[in-house]
Amino acid sequence: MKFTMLPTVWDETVAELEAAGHEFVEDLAQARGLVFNAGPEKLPDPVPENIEVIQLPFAGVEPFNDAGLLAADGPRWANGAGLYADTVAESALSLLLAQLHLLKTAVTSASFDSADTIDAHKQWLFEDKTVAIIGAGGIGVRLLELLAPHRVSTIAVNRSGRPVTGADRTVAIDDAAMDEVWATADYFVLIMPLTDQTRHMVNAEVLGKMKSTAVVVNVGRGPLIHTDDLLAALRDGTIAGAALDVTDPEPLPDDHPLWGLDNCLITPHVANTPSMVRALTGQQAVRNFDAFEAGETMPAEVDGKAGY
Amino acid sequence: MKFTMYPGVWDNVVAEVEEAGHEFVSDLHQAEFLIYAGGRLPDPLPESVGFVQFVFSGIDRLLDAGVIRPGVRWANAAGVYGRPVAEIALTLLLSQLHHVKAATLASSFSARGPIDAAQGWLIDGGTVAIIGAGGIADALIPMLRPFGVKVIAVNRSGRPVEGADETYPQSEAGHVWEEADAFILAAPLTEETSGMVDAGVLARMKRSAVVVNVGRGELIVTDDLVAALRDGEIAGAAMDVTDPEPLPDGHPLWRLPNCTITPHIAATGRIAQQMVAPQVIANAAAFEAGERMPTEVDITLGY
Repeated sequence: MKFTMLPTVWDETVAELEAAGHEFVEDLAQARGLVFNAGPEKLPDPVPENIEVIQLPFAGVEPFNDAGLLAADGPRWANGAGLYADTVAESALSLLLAQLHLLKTAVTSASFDSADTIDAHKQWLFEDKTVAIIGAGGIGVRLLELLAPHRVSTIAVNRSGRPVTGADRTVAIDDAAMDEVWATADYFVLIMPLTDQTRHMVNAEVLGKMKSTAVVVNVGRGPLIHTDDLLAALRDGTIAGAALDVTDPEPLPDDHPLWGLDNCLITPHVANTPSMVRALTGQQAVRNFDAFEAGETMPAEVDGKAGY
Repeated sequence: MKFTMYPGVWDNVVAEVEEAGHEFVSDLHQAEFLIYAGGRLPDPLPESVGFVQFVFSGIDRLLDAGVIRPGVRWANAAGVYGRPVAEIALTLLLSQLHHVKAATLASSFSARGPIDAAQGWLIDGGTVAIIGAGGIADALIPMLRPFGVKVIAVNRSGRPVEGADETYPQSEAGHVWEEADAFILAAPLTEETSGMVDAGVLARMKRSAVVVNVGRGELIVTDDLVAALRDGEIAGAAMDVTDPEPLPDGHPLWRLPNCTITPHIAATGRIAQQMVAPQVIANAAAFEAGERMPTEVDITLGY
């Protein structure tokens, strides 16, 4: 299939597609497929009719959804979903463990004097804990594998409620049972995409339902959490801690109060980064374009109506 | 058997041991065994005391201080804290690979580029070597498995460790320092292991190597590690134990962004209180049966 890449041509992406038998063309009018690596404002408007499929490198497609592009008649869309399962799952476990064992307190105190405080307030994954994975897709399945040897109970939360491999229990996000999930799980890992339904889903009301020992990890999108509500909950002990690789706003300003909280660990969006995206987009495009040509649903096809 | 506990009495441990048919007495001179959590002991111990059960694993300091002497049998808690210590080892390894300390010290998204460039991934399928593979390794190896890493175990005997891809005896493990991407030091402190990670060994490691210490601080020559971390001879270190310990405030290791330090929070008194009773009961049963206790200390070996 003839394809082009806009607005920036990544040589390694082109090379992988060509190695798989696709043909790079400079002229957009000659292409059937498009690999597009910028925001929707840079997209040709309108997208020419000869473009039947567009591959985006990232998993998060909300700017394209907000621009009304995904639901429109026109090309089919694929994203980077599933591509970052390994790295994001590893980062999620790393953040969870680091927060449970109060690494930030250890780093900021820089003293063995903090030993008693840490011993008194730290938590252990091995002590029969329940982990809820909110937005359990490909990353969630991988995270469940990494969690299995820790013998935790696991709850997968997804859109459909269809049982997730490796989870002890699966709950649909709009099920009434979610009240009980928020109230009984010890730890929450947020991985779902950002949509109108999920924006600010972890707000003061939800935080208020959680145990005071709860820890929230966000490796999905910053706006899944209402930042000011989280700040208040961490300050007044409504929950025990949070660990964030994504924030709202992002980048989090250097003078933001979250940086100063010992019970809020923050890494600067390093679970999947531009360098990883660039290295992995080619193989993702190959999988999707091959399925597209075969007349199948693409492995990472975006559901235009759902917005991801 | 009659037993007592010293210096503090842990009520839940006493209750669990009593439930197994033993009787708590407050007078040491009536006790047939002693559950011991550190500190001074009467010298000599009353003849009634058949064995002393230490609630932690590392007995090097008790040997050095002369607290453990020939004449009374001793047991420790070797292997009891495998799961908590393995959890701390994994936490330290992942935190160092992903530069949690550097991110915390920077407190800014401007650190994103440098961290992205420098961070390592377990999931990339490297090799993890566990030096001193006993109870901690038994718990840690299953935790490492789903990352798809190769696991090399090094122990004293070279007897194959379950779940490890390869096991070597300490005496034939020199090549492992060059092969592995990450090292978990979990060995007891003995004459053989003291200072085992020195400038020579650090120089053999890959520049991308990460060293995690959950054994004893003295396994590493601290000044050599400081130099290796400063010069980029290895990528990072993460330790729950240090030498000296406590590590003095202001020690250069605290300031190195590639050295994660937690203040000995793995097998703490709180964890011992929760977990030690079943081992005490098993040891007492073996002692009564006239057998070697499962975690009986070999004074000549030092663990």
